[in-house]
Amino acid sequence: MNSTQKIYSKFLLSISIFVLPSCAQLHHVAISDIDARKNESSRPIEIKVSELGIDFKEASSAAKLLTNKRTQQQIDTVQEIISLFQMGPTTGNRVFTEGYAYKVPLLLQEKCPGGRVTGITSIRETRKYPVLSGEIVKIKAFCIGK
Amino acid sequence: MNKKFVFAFLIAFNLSACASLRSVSLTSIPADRKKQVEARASRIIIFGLNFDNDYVERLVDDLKYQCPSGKVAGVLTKDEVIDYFLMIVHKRQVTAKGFCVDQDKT
Repeated sequence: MNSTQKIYSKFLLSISIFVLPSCAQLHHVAISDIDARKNESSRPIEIKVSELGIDFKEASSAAKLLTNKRTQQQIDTVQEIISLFQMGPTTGNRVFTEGYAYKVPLLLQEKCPGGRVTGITSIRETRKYPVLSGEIVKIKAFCIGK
Repeated sequence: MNKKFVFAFLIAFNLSACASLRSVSLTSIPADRKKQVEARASRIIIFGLNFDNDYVERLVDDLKYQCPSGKVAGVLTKDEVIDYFLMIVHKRQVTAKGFCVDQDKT
């Protein structure tokens, strides 16, 4: 790598450090039936649940920069073993507990106790940071009633 | 002649857009399907830099505005990506279509 390439790589790295942390990736959107009748007791509610995600490819690339050749080979082996158990369609990065989205109905009930929830917009998105990510499920809706 | 043809081909190739579907969802369809309402939200994304997805949130308000005294049912939500110019620029577009049903018929 010559000096010009080094300058370019440093420039790209510094830009990516500042820009990538705020990248938001949309995976899925769904909108439910909407009760559009004018109702004074209607109020907007919002719920957000998230879990820490890890990009194993980026993590192993970062680890390789700091280790010797033998350790790099071991990292490759570990990554291949992990990838054998990670099959099927996914959205975003891997998380350690997949149950974080199960509590959404309970949280909706807490936000709108005894009321009717309508106009539900369900958003599944990822907030991308270097190596790590925030795997987010966001719900926006209207609570009619109490 | 050949240069012009190649130039025109390149322009046409770069300006044409490829669409791909990311997700679709549909709610229960009502019997009364006379009035259809539609809302669309989109964002142009360059180099994959997108800082929030808030543009999606106005879809419900748009649908409510078009159906002020009823219920919007049979909502089809379509999320698609339209690629432009060598996939450096792409548009993320979410479309929601539904039927506005009178209050008594729901």
